[in-house]
Amino acid sequence: MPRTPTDGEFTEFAHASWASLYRTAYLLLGDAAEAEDLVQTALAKTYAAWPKVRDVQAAPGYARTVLVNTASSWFRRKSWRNERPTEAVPDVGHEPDLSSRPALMSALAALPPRQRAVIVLRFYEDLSVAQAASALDVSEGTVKSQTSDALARLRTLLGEAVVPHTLGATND
Amino acid sequence: MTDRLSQLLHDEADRLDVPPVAADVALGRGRGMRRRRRTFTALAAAAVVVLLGTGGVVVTEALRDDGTTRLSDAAAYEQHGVWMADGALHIGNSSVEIDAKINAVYYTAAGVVVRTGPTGDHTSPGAGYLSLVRPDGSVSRLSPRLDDVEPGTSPDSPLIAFARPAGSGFEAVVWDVDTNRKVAAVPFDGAFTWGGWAAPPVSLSGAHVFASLDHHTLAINWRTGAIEPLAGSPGSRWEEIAADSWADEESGRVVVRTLDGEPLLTVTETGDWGEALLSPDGRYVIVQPELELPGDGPPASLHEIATGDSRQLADTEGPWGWTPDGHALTLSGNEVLSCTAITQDCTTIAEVDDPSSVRMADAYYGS
Repeated sequence: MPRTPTDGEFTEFAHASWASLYRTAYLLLGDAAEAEDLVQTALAKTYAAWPKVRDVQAAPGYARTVLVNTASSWFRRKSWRNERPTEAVPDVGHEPDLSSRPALMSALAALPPRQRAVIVLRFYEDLSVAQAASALDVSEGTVKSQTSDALARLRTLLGEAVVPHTLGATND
Repeated sequence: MTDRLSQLLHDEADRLDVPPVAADVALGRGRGMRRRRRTFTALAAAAVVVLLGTGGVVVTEALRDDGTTRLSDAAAYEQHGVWMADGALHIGNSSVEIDAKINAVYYTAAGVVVRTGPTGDHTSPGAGYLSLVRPDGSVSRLSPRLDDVEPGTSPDSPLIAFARPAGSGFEAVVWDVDTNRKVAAVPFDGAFTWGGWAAPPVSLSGAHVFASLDHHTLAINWRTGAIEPLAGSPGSRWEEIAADSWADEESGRVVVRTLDGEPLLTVTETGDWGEALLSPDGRYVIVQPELELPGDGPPASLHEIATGDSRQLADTEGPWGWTPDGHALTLSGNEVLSCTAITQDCTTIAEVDDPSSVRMADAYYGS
C-alpha cells in the first residue's frame, strides 16, 4: 500500500519546483512579490493535501494546477481588477522593438487577467484548449473566445510578426 | 504559428531573477491550512429512492415539534433544511438518494434544486442537470440545463434565475421549478470578461435578477423588463445578495445594505479583505477574512444584521450551513444540529454513521 510522502520529500519537491512555478506565476501576474506569494500559496495548499499524494511524481502537476486555480480565484476578486495599476499600452502603428523586454510584459499587462492566463497557459505552458479550460475552471468555448480576443489584442500591440493574423481565426 | 509568441514568453521567463526558495514557509502555511480545509465531496448513489429514517441515519425525536407530533414536511424543510450524509440527501423528514453526483444545491420555496453531473465540479461540461427535491422527498427532473453558468435562487420563491448567451448579448431567464415552466426571459447587454463563465453569474431577490458584468451589476426586473445598474456596485464580482440585502465587500470592511443602498451593518474586522456570506433569509451574515492561514488576521465572525449581535467562529467550527428559515446547521460529533445562529440554542435533527460524510446546504466550510 502506498505510504504518505514525508515532510522531507515535500521540502525536496518544493526546492525542485520553485523556479518553474515562479516563472509561470510571474507571467500570470506580472509582479515579483505577488508571484512569490502565489507560489507560496500553491505550495502550502499542496502540502495541505500532501496526505492524499500517493505518488510524489504527481506533485508538480498538482501544484501547478493549484497555482493556476489560486490565480484564477484572485482574478475574480473585485480588488484585483480595481486596484491593479493600469498600464495603458497605446496601439502602435509600427512593429515594436521586441529586443526591449518591457514590450511583451506591457502587452500582457494590457490584457484582462483571464485572457492573460489563457495566453500563458496555452503558449508558455503549452496546454491544450481542454487542459487550459480545466485549469481555469471554465468551458473550452470560453478558452477559445478568450484566446481569440487576447491574440487580437496582442497582434495590435506586438505586431503581425509576433502574432500572425491567421492565429486565433479558428479559436483552437 | 505561435512559435514567436511562445519563444518570447520563454525568453521572458528565463530572464527572471528567481527569489530563493522558502520551503519552510510553505510547509508552515500548509500545516495551518490542513486544520481548516473542508471540501465539498460529490455524492454518488445508485438510484432515486426515498428512504425514511433508514440508510444509516437515525431520525430523532427532534423531528417532532412537541414531542408527539411530527413536523409537517414543509415545516421540517424550513427549520431543518437540507444536508447530505452517508450517501443520501436529507430534506425535511425524508432521505433521498440521487443516481448522480450532486455538485450543488439551491434552496427554493418549492424544495431544493439539486445540480448533478459526472463530476463534483459544478462548472464542468455536462454538470448542469437540475432536479427538484420537494420537502416530501419526491424528485422530478427540471428542463433547464445550466452548463457553465451560475444561477440564483431564494428560499422564499419557487424560482431559479440564470443568464445565458443570446444573440450578441445575454438574457436573464427566470424559471418556476414548481411548475417547471419559464416565467420570463429578459435580454440584456454589457461587457462580461471577468468571470470566465459563459454568461454573467446572477443572484435573485424578489422581482430582480442581478447580473454581474465587468463594470457594474445590473438589476433586472424580470416582471417589467426594466434594467438599471445596482447603485454602488463596482462590477467584476458576483455580488452577495439575499432577501433584499446586499453584502458589499470593500477593502477593509463589509457593508450590508438594502438594495436601495441604505447601510444596515458595517463589519470592519475583515483584515485586508473580507468575504461575506448572507444567510438565505438575509437575517445573518458570516464575514470571513480572506486569509491563507488561520491566525494571520481576525477570525471569521457571524452577525445578526438587525441587532448587530455577533460572535466569532472558531476555526474548528463546521461544517456549517443554513436552513431556509435562517437556522444554522452544524455538526457535533455524529449529531446534526439545527441552531439559532447567535445564541446557539440547538436541536438535534439526526445522528449519522459517518460524520465526515456530512455536507450542509448553503454551507460555510471555513476555508
